[in-house]
Amino acid sequence: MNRPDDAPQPPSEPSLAHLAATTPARDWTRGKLTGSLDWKRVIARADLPEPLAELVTEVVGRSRLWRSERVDLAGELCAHFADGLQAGTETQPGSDSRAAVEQLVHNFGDPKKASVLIRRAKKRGRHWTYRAFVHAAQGLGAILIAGFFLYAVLAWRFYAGEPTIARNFAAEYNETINSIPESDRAYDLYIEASIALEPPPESLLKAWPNIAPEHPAYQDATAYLERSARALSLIHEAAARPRLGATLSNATDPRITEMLRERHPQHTEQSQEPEENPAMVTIVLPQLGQMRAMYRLLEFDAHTAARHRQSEQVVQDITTMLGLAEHAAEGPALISSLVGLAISTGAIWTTSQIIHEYPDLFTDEQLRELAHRHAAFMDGVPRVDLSGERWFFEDAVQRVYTDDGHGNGYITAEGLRHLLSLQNPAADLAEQFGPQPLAPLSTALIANRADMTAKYDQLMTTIERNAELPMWEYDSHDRPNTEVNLLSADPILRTRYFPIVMLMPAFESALQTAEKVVQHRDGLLVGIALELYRREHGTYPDTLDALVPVFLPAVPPDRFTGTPLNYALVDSEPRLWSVGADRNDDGGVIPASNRADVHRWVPKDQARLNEQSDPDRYDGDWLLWPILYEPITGEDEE
Amino acid sequence: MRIERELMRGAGPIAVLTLLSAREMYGYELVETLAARTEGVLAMGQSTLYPLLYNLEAKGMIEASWHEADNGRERKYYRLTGKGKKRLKADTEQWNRLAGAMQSLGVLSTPLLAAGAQA
Repeated sequence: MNRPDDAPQPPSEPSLAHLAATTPARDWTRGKLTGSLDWKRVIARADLPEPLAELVTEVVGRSRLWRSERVDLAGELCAHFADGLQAGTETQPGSDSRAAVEQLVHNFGDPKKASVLIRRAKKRGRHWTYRAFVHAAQGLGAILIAGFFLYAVLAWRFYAGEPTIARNFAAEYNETINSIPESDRAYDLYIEASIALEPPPESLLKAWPNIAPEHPAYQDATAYLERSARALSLIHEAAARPRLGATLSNATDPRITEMLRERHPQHTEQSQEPEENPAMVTIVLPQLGQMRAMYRLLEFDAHTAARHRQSEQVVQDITTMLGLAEHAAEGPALISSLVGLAISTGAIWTTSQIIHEYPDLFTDEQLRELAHRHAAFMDGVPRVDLSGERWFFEDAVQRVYTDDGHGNGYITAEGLRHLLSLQNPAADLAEQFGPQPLAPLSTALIANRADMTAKYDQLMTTIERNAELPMWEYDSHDRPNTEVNLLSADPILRTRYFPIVMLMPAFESALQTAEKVVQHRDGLLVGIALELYRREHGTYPDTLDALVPVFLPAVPPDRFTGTPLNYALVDSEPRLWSVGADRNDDGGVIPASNRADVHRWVPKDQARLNEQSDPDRYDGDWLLWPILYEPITGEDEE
Repeated sequence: MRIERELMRGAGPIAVLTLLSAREMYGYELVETLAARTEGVLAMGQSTLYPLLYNLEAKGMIEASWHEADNGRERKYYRLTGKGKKRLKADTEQWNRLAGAMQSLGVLSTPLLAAGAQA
């Protein structure tokens, strides 16, 4: 071939390193350094005039294809121009070769455009796995970029957002309390009684207050009772007042803190300043613990008075127990209701035990008075008060979410920290949600304010409806905590409704507590009626119907079945029972095990399984009358 | 006369497939044959032809292989695949229907190739 004067020089031999770098792996494995991926060498070997060689170099170089593809492209373009040069020579012998080269360069067109189009077309021809990988990588990249922007927005919202605390629930509650006349409020008297009431001596701790006269420490108990006379007097006075009248605060009453510090030198808690608008979940109710201690003193005093045939004192103690229970239950917290119900149960048992132990202790009038006082507890409808629960949740929501003024908002860093500190004051975001940088994602994962509030409202509506149901209707309704349990079990829902899962108590057990109190109370009222009947007729009746209407307005229902309570005379003694959780009448026979669990409602199917799997514990009835008094004698304490 | 770019985009592939339906050809040969057979109407620069060939190859219409030519040089030859033949048949039918429609509208007074030849 005739080369123009400015044609590139023939290729020099490449270095060993260059050869190695341009040899495909396949040739490497065969031990050959072929340099077959060196596309520039392909162009040089074609021995084209410089303008054409430069054109091919530019097109191939700009194409940014794989090296093997560039080698192929360079070879094809070189062959193309070689054919063009040859054709020009053949058709126009003697023509100017420089003009032919220029014509070929001109005919080729724009090298930049060619390299772009060639690259695009060649890439389309690559193997599908490569294209799939590229598309996946592009998709992933797009997702990452979108994710970054989303994260940036979430992080800004999360850290910049501020909860708006619009309501002061404690102040609203306290306003109603402060409107009660001072003389009707019992709280200060209870505080005075708490200060006057020493803790029981250590020798009594295991047996107090159910200590039998045979117990070695019984003298300590009676001495303690004598030392507590002033406290007991204050408790009676307090319980007789209409209302407890305790205001809500996050700070323990300084009088109680001071008293605890004096009694327990190791008690280092300082009186803290009450917050102006405390979070409802930080409200402290120290009086509840004190009231439990007061109940135990009353219980011992009642049994002691019964032993000394001081029936009026017993009636007064039981009346005070019920007043104490009403006062304990006053307040917006569920725990207040539960403590109140627990004290009332104790009052029922104490009454039942004393009547059984000393059948002739009370006059007829006293028996009727006791029956009326028990029947009037919580206006005759012992229930847990759920109204305060909504306050607790609404207050938590306003401290966790922003407020757009239309009932919606999103969770904030400050709010989340507040929420987690309720669960564990030492917890931080990192422990709960992984590394701190991931915390903003919670704004996307946790439901917004409107959704969260709506879900809570839906759950609470179901629970409040359940709270009105007698236990025998539980089977035909959804269980109160079913949906909450479903939220807890599903990791996505658990995160989405994290504040609900965290703050909502186990209502099912609480609602059952109220039903059990009703059952215990009904058992006592029937027991008192039986005793009054015996006094009038000399014997117990054959059926409960004989008590109606003179001694009892109606035969109360078994809370497990809705049918009248079961009754029989065994050895001429009355026996009253509910069929219990297994819903089977076992003739008033209680389960064999001392771990009997016949009071706890479970669905029918579960009850049947329990009965079959552990009959000693579950197969039996719930004995309501008589309730035996079995004080601790100390013989089995070792 | 050069054809508008958009028209060329539609005509180029069928023109190349038509040429390759007769025998296998290499790049320069295709360029020259197209220009000669259409008297320059479908002449396309190499910057257009080679991307077109690579696209057809990527779609499986044609396949390429390197052969040594009579002059001793290596050339890359293209030939039609079975898929390319089907595509050519389908495209030819469409072009005929299009030409017929154009003719019925009076856009084409003479058959397409004759018009091209006159231009």
